[in-house]
Amino acid sequence: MPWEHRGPVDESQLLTRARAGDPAAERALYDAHVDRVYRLAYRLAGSDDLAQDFTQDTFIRAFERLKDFRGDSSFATWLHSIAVSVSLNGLRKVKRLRTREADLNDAGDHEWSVRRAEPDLKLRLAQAIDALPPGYRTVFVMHDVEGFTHEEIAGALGLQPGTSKAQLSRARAKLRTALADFAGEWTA
Amino acid sequence: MTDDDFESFLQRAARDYNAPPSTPRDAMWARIEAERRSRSASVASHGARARRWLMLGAAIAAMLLVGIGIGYVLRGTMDSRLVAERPDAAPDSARQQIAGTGSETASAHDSGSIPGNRNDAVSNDGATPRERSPFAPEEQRIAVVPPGSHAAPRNTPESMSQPAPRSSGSAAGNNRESAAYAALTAEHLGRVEVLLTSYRAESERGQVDPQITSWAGDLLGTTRLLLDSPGSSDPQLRKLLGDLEMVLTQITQLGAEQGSKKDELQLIDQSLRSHDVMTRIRGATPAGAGALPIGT
Repeated sequence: MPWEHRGPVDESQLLTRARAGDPAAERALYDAHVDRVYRLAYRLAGSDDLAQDFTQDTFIRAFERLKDFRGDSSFATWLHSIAVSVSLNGLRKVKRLRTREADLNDAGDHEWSVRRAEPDLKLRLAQAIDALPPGYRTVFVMHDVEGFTHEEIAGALGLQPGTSKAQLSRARAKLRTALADFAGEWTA
Repeated sequence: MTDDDFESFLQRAARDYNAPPSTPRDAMWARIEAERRSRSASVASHGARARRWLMLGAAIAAMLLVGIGIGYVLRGTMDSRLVAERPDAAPDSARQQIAGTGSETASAHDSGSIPGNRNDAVSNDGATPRERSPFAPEEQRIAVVPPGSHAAPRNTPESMSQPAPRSSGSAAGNNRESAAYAALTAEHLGRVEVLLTSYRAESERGQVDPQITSWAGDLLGTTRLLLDSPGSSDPQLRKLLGDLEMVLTQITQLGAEQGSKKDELQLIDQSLRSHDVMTRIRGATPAGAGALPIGT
């Protein structure tokens, strides 16, 4: 049985041991949460290398700051907030680098350009999600793609649940507008 | 097409958006552990480096404190000797001028840090300063010469034919010699500074007190003794003593000359200025050396 399903008592014991520097407890916490963190990082980054980097960085930071975790929220929420922060900051850096490279190379063979050239609905959807503002995109990915609740999203992003709902609604509206050409294919 | 249709489409289609592969948990854990080990090692080495620098800094600070302590002890010793040997007969105008230079002499005078009548000070041998006037022959007052030195006058056949004798040659003996020579030289330079300050005050009036010329003769003898001492190995100090010898000789000869002294005074002033004698003396003299307890 995964650690995340063993209940808060087990996790609090693990946290206590991990704070004391117990490597086995750290590994157990890692095993309990790494899948969800990695999946979220991958969904946001779209690259295995970046997702692994973001996941590693998330856990390294979490273990370094474990003494600061006071238990106001669940450990998973705290960990996801770190993961989202690490991923979004990392993606900003990557975007800056890609922009510079694109300016330098001035090439038309960019991955995103390939997506634009494809008329496929799923690729157009992916393109539209990529084009969402970061806040909308994060909420959309967490809720509609990864299945986080609004409460979890709010806890991880430091928002009110109502704000999360509003951002998801706006994200969907933007996607609907972006995919208007495929209106007939939604039900297919 | 309703919103519900679109939302259900989104939730179906979005599952394929950046679909992740299976989690490479072991590979990532290995890298996490390696990174954490590397960071802790870096922090440890940084801490060790910081500790080394701290220890080095503490050692330097301790050495400085010891040096300052030794300086205070030596200075106290020299001050007590200078109190015992101060030149009471220095003209009042000279005292005023020295007080105006802002030297430690002036500080001592202003603050009254050396209390009591100057005639009350008694030297180690029981003689009062008046009995031990600085205008007495200098050789009598400087009874201590570096051990082993013959202190022969410069340019005598003896001194020219024989190398300057050294002490036993042991390191401790050499150190004692050097320390004694340095103390005597500092003391002497302090006296010369007082004399030259007195002289300049007198020469501005165009008249030099005969006591000044006599005093200069005494200091000239000591200057030559110091020049001939085996401890005078510092070339800068030798040059300074050489220049002092010249100036003191000129001042000494003022008393013997019968004609107009105006040209001679100008010549001496020119020597003092051109060789920057006063500045060099002050540079070579430790603070407090030669300070006179004047004005009491």
